[in-house]
Amino acid sequence: MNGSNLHVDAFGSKGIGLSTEERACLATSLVGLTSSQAFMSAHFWGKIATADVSKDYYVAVAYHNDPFAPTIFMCQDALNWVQAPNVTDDEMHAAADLRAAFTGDPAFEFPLPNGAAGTLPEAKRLTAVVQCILRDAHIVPRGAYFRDVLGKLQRNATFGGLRPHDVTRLASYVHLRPTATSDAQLARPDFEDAVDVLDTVEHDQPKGCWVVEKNVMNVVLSSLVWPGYHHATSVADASFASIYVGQGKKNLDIGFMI
Amino acid sequence: MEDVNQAKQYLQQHSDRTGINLYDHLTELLAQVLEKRPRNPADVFENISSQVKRDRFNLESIQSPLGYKKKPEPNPSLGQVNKLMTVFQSVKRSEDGNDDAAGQVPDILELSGLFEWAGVSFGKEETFLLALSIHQLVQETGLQSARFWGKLSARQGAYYVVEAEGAPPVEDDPEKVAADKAAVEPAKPPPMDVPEFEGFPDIKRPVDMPLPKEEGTGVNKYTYFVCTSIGEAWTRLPDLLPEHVTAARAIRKYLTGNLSTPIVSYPLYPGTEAHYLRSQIARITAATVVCPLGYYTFDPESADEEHPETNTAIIVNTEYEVLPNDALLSLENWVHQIPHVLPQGRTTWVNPVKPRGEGEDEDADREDGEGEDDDDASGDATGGASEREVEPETGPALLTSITEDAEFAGHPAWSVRACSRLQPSKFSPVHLRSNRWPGAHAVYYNGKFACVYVGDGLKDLGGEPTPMPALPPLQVEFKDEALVELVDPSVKDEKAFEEMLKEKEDDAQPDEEDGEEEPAD
Repeated sequence: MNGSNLHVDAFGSKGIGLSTEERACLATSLVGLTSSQAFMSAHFWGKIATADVSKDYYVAVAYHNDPFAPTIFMCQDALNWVQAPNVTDDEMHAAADLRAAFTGDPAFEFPLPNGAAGTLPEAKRLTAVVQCILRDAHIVPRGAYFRDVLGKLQRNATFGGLRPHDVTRLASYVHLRPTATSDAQLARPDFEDAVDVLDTVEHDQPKGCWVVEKNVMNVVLSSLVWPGYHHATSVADASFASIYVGQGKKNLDIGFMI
Repeated sequence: MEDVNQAKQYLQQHSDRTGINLYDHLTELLAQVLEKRPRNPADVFENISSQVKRDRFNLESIQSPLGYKKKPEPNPSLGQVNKLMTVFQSVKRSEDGNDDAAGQVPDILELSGLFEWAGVSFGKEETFLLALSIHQLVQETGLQSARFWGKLSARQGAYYVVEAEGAPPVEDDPEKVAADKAAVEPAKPPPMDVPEFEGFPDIKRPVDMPLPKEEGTGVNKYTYFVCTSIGEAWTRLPDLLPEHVTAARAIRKYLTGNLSTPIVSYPLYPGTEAHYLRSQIARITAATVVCPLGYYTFDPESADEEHPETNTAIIVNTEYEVLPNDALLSLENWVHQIPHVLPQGRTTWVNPVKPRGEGEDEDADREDGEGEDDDDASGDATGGASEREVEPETGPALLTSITEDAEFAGHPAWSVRACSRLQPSKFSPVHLRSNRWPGAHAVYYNGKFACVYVGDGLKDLGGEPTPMPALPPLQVEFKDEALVELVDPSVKDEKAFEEMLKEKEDDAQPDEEDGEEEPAD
């Protein structure tokens, strides 16, 4: 997880891996991507599996300064990155309801769900799905981000990692997304003004939608609402990482399955 | 001497502020000076004295203001680590080097290298521990062969699954056999104490006999062992009854990680999570375990020429020519290795309807009179003919190509790619992935091939919402010609009837009428 823009090794327990060729291509091309548009950082976000295994999408996310405003890139060969088109909120809602599989053709048009008129091209569906996952499932350990005196969310350079007794508790992980107010935070015994500004994962509905798996050196949280999203936090040091390897579909039937 | 003793006593008085006494302090001080031998001891004497006093400050005593000690917190995975240590220490290599008797296990580390090309990797250390654990299982249980089947994720943890052949048969638990028998024959209600009541007449329902379990063949050809984390003991999964498979097809639930959890679902699942897990494993294996064309061929000794579709014995083809990697990029060169599971829940079809003649002889529980009752009732309309015509179920034969697999949600059931785009094809493994069962992968590289499953054990919905189970049919009205329904008279009719009766009375007894009684208007 340290010093690499790939951080896939933390997720070995989930069977997720990248081949040597993919690693070589991704690591190199991401560096090129970062410098091409003067991003502060870019990292490999994950893979979206399509109906054709040779056309799976690789997705990378790049940031300028704002952790809430990522730029999303996609490619199908791990080398030539293309910026994914922007989407509106409506398109995000529509993409979360779609059940059909990705086809591998970015120009393919999906009919909108729930009887609405119109279509959604696959490239936009990809951006919408990535944005949905960043909003609904992306988590970080509590304390990794804090609000500075100017009210801006910053990465915490002095984050020392989660304590061993905290690392398996859901209350120690927070969603990295803009929140209105979080009254639930005031109930914490260890409430801290600067750090408790994000929603914890503890009250995510439906109950039991996060799976916690303890490994020897890290703890991996997986989401059942967006199956394929995993987050790993190291037990020994302060590193953490997220990845998505899945079909890009929300689990709309989760209520029947838990 | 007394002066010296008194002086010494005075010097040994402990200070009530700091607890040190001058005697000890001077002793320590002189010892330090003699040890370090500074150049001008008299000049630096005060410094050394204050240094000694500072060093005496003990952070760890409770009374000191900063007295705390940082203790390391235990790693939350310590229990797991201890179990892993037992895996390291348990595998014994046989002294005479006769490792061949230890059962056949493929080279898991080599295969894991192949799977890494396909994007499925547990990490080298975890794979190594898994390999050790599987060797240990094979040794302890005396299996003929074993292969790593895959990893299923559950809500609390995961299941590592090993597929084994040649496991010693399990003796049927007598309690379990009795319970199964009780479930099959519904309990007769106790006779009531009302005289002249001989119990309710038996309703003539066509009873399907429970489908027999496939022993040692078909669905139960392989035995599966699971463990929830590497280092834990392997648990053997029970063999499957056909109803377990048919019920598993109707529900869609996540695994919980505990084999004895009951499955709460509708329609009701007749088993615990162990059976559900085993059913899913059976379905996935039958649908997704594949091999290159020509690697296996039908066993000529047990091949049935008239019914080629029922052949199930396959052996390794000695005349197999290794195909180049390119050839495996076309789906025709992959074939199914495991027999298809019919909708019945078995791989070979069995007629579920009880044949007429045999039912009477074998039924020891029924009274003698009922055998004849059956014959008499056969003409009645009792909710269906007693002899049902059931179509035999057929499925694709073994070793059919996967191109014959039905299309799934508008896409082919399988997709294939060369793992390496940039290297020449003879260095590029071929990766085959299933769309119907996401998580099922197969890899081929220069003659070596393997299949693995890493996922949550659920079939893809194919773009449709979870199918809702059909509700049972509504109950119909009870039909018996002896009962005739009469129409209740309305109020008007009743009144008219009463008046008619009254008129008859009046006509019949005119003398008794008093003259005073006038008919009321």
